[in-house]
Amino acid sequence: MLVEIFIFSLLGIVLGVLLGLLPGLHLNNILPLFASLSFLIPNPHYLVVLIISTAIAQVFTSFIPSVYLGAPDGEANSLSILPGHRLLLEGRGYEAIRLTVIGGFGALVISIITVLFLGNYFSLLYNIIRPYIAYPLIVVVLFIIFSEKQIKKMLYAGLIILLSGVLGILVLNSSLVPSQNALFPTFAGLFAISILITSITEKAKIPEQKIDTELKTSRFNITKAIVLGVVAGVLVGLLPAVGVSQAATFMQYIGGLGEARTFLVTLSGINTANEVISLNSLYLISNPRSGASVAIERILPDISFNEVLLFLGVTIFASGIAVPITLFLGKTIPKFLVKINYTVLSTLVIFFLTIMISLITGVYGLLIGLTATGIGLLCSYTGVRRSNCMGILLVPSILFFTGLNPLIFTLLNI
Amino acid sequence: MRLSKNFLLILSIFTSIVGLILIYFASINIEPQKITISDITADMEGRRIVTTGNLVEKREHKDGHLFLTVSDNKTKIQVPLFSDFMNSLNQAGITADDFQLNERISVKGIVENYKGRLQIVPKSLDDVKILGD
Repeated sequence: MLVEIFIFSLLGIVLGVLLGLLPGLHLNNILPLFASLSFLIPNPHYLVVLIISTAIAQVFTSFIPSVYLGAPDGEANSLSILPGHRLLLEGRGYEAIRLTVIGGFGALVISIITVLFLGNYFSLLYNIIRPYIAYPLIVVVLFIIFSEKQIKKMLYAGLIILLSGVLGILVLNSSLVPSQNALFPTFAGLFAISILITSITEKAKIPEQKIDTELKTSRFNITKAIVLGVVAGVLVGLLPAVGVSQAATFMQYIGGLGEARTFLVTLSGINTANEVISLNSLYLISNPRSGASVAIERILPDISFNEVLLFLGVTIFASGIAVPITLFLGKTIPKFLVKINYTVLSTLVIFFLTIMISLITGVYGLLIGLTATGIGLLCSYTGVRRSNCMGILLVPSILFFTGLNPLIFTLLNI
Repeated sequence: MRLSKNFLLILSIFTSIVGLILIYFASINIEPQKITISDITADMEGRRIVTTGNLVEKREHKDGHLFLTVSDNKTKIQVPLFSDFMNSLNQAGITADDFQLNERISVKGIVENYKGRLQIVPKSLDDVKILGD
């Protein structure tokens, strides 16, 4: 059995690395494929091992395209530049990757210890917060609007949350696209294609990258950012719809950390802790909290503590392999990046995403993707944070948890 | 040629709003597929469908949910009406008592998988219709 677990873990890591490198794609997009091939896999545990190792490897490598692709012109759009792009434009793209790896791995270790020793308290915490989930979600919406600081930008932020929220309500509750694929064209439009179009229109150029091991922030700040990342990651793992970026921004305020490097550590920490918590959510709170955990629930309806130990072991193994791969790719890719035409690369990625959207979700998916791209571009051209687009999940979730869904759907006639 | 920022801003607002309008009209005009209960399969998960059948079982939950079981004489499927849905139905004058066993009902909703069992989850109040005997 050990050999099979090892083989399926390695297979998952390969898939996770590939998925992570392809911007806009997510494990959820290939879960139906896993389900349809499950009859070929003799033991359901191997399928779960495959899902977990894919999820963990993707968490680490997905930072590579988000740092190296879609960078805007540094001077034209300085206020809304994402932290990873900010370092890339300073020639410190590899440092950005190293910071996400450190944040991710640190948070992974702490969150595994948390699951092992505090796992019994998660149900209690979840049951306490569940009836009140709408309130923190409303606070998050108000926080992301008011954190824009200027009145004009707050209005734009409100508009973007509203537009993305309406898109979320329509897409998640209509017959246009099957619900399990509905988020693919929306996320690709909001968070990938719109960023790439901004990069193309601004004719961004990537400066020569410095490949060294220097980290221009203190160990204390990194440790603090990781701890904040785990705390936020646990909450994001339990609260639906709260995005990793919003949680990172919120934690930066709480922790008094206000710069790109610690933001990246926190961001990656939240991402990884969230993944560990949501993969184990069936054991922790008896409720699936991600596409992967829904799939795991179907494969293994009752999860014992021994199985949790196996999953955590696979998590550690997958991260142990994914970390050096991410660092290697983070070091190698910039060497090619400065030689090739960045605009052509961005155009090719947009082309690839458009093909994938049309293959997976058809003509309605393309319409949804185009609309989502328009909303994503609003962030670029108004200079507000892209996390405002998380209205796509926040608004439908607030409606759900306030019990307003049936009323809204009846009014909208959808 | 570098397009002006204002032009791009207006273009993105236009694309967003026109796109949302088109998606809305497509959503209300595309009728979900009509299907018999025995033809509902796992690969339809996530799709919105409409089906009819006889109410063969109903179970009220202490938290206010109402679980209906609908059958086409060959296969049964569960239709959960969650508490917020029931509250809205109550406000529209429909209560759990209005769902009588053996009555025909029409259900529109998304096919979901709950712990290995398929169910149809209605979203809007018009999604559940009591057709009578």
